[in-house]
Amino acid sequence: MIYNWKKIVRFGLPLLTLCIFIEIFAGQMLHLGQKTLVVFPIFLISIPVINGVGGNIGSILGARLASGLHVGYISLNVKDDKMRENLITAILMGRRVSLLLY
Amino acid sequence: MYAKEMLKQSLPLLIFCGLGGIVAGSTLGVMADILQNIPGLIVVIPAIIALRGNISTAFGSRLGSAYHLGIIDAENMWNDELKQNIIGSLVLSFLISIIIGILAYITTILFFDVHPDPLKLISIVLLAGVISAIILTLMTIVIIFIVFKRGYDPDNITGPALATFGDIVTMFCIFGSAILVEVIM
Repeated sequence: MIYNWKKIVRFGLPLLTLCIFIEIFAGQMLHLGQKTLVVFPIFLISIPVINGVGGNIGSILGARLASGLHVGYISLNVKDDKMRENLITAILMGRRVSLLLY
Repeated sequence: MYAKEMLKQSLPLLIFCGLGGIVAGSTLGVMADILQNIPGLIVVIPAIIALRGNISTAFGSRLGSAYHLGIIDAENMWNDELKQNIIGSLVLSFLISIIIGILAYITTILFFDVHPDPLKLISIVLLAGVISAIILTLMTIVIIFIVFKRGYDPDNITGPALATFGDIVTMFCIFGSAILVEVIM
C-alpha cells in the first residue's frame, strides 16, 4: 500500500497551516477594504474569479509536473525541455483566460 | 505538440471554471449583508476557499498519480488506497477548519480591535469546512471515474474542475452555515 491517511495528514498539515496563515492575511486585507467592497459588489464578485484562475493554472502545472516526475519523463532540471514547455504553456494559458473573462 | 494537447484539454475547462468563479462570486455578492452583520466572517473567506482548493486538488492530484502508476483504474477504483486518501483529506479538512477559525479570531482582534464571537466564527468555519469536504470528496470520485472512462489524462481535468466546483460548493456552505449559526445562536 502506497497511501496512508496518517502520512497524508502528517505531510499536509504543516504546509496547509502555512498557507492558511497567508490566506488569513489576504482575508484581513479584504476586511480592510470591506466598506468599499460592500458598496461596489462587482469587486466582491470578482474575488473568487481571480483566485480561481490563478489557482487552476498553478494546480494544472503542479499536477502535470508531479505525474511527470513520478513516471520519469520529466527530470528535475531547469534545462529540461519538457519542464520548460510546461512552464511557458501555463503562463500563456493564464494570459488567454484572463483576457477572455474580463 | 505536447503544449497543444495540454492547451486543447485544459482551455475550455478553464474558461468554464472562470464562469463558475463568477457564480461563486455572485453568492458572495448576495452575502454582503451577512458579512456586515458578523464581524470577522469576511476574513475566513479566502482561507476557506483556499483550504477547499488545496485539499481537494491535492486529493485529485494524488489520484491522478495513482492512475499513472496503475494503482487504481476504472474497474478497480474502490480499493484501500482510495479509502486511505479519503480519510486523509477529511481529517485534514477538520483540523484546518478549526485552525482557520482560531486564527481569524485572533488576527481580527489584533489588527482591527473588533471583537467577533469566537464560538460563532469557529462553528461557521467548521460546519462549512466539513460539509464541503464531504461533498467535494464524493464529487472528486465521480469526476475521476468519468475521466477514467473517457480515457483523458486526469491531471489536466481534475485540478480546475475541483477548484471551481469547490469554490461554488464552499461559498454555498459558508452562506448556509452562516445563516444556520445566526439563527441558532
